[in-house]
Amino acid sequence: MRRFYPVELYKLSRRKDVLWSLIIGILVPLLMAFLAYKGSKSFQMAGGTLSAFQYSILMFDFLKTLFFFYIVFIVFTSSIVSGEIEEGSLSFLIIRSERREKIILAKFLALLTLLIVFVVLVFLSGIGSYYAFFNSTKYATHEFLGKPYLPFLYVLILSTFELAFVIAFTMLISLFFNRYVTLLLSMGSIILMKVLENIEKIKRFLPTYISNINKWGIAITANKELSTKTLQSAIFLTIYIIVVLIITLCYFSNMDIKR
Amino acid sequence: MEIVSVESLTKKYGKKVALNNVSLKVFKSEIVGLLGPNGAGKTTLIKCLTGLLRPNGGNIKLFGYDLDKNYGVVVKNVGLLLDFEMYNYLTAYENLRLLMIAQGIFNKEKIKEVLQFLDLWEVKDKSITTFSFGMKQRLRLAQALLSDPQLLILDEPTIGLDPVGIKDLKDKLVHLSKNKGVTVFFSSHQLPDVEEICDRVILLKEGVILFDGKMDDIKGEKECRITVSKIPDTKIIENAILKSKPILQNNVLIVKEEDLNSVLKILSQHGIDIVNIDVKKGNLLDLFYTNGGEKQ
Repeated sequence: MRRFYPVELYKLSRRKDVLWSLIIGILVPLLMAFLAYKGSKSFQMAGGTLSAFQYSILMFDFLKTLFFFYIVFIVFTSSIVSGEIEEGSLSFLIIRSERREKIILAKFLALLTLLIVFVVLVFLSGIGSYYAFFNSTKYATHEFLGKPYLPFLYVLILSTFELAFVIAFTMLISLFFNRYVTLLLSMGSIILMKVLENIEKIKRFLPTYISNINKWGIAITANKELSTKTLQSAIFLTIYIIVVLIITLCYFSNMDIKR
Repeated sequence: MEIVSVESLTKKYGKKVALNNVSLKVFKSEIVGLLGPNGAGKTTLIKCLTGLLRPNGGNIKLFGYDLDKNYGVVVKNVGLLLDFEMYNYLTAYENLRLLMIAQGIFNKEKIKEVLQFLDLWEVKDKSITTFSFGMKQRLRLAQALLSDPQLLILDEPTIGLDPVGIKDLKDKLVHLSKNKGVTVFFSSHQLPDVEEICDRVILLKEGVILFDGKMDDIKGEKECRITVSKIPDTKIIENAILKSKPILQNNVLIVKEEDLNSVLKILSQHGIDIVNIDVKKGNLLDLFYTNGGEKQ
């Protein structure tokens, strides 16, 4: 897998859609901070104030609410799995591997690395935008961390786990369908999960709900309890990711590469 | 030495049988052509040989090793060319560099050697979206040659190449086989190309091998077309003891060269005049057509 991981990472780094998505991800916090700085009506907050850390994570959560991260990572995943199966380029890697599973694991790890790069860059863009523009607005606390900061940190951590699950889930779907159907099915599944979050008996099993601290964490005031609940959620999401990955690897190791 | 050994290979797509009990052997340094009409199962056979498709039955050995159990060991020595897209957003050089890294044998000099060998060195830094089909095909061949494979498995390698490119490719394949001991197994629709460079030909139709024989035998076999003055009684011919069965088409009798004297004698005994005798060398086209219908 050490051989395939740098290959996958390099391929992702040379894709134009990755570059453009990163630029959009970096520009959104900057644009929002600029709008706040200019006193635009497009940026309004109901009475609250934000530290640099809180602003950064709020921007990350805002992008996630817009489905930006879901769409971007579903597109990347379907392109490098079902896209490569369709085009046939995956065969060039398969005939260079002792075990096919290594290729899928390398793809997953490369996408995970890209996800972390996205999270870090959006976060850094948020911090930079805060000090460039937002700090001069009435919404700023002029602090770096501010209080509370733990719920914000947990939003970031659990959202990253959720997106890792989305990547693993899209990989599995990619083995069965072409990239466009994969895109539709993956997006459809996320929307369906969001809808099912309204059903009490089901919601606690849904990765989108487990990762959404804004839904289940509002009532929790004690930091210790919130930390414990976040850790539990992270463990559940990890189990989901591992299960989906195992199914993907088992199927991929024996599937026909027909194209 | 057996480089490829296939026994009773069967591959099904749902209910459709793509390969039916196929058995074949390819020996070291041989150039073997795989022929067959569209849908005969050529690409399926090639994909089974490289582990891209999982057979429903049978056994495949490459270099004496079981393909399933020793995939990693075996594929290191195989170069594969299939009609697949490479990474279009990368340059030719980047494509080859990544594939070498994936194989764990990164060597800049080797990439240069292969690109120069296939006349792609000048365009190595161009994105392959700008490549013509023929250039892409040469790049596919380049990736197949990267690891100095001992077995080259090529699916329609001459597709998209211009006549000069085809000649170059044939020369290179012969060079690799004769000078470097590389075994070449390739499918093609270009019968003259196969006829020119192959040591052996395998004809596949509807997933079944109809013919497997040496090119020398095919070329050495001569066919005689005897035009007669009147149509002879088929019983006369059928009762004659001949090495192969003659074919009667109107007043033309087609026999193998070795049976010519016997047939002429029979015709003379029955007072049938000979109008013309045309002796023709055996070729792949005849083999393709005569074996197209029924199993030999």
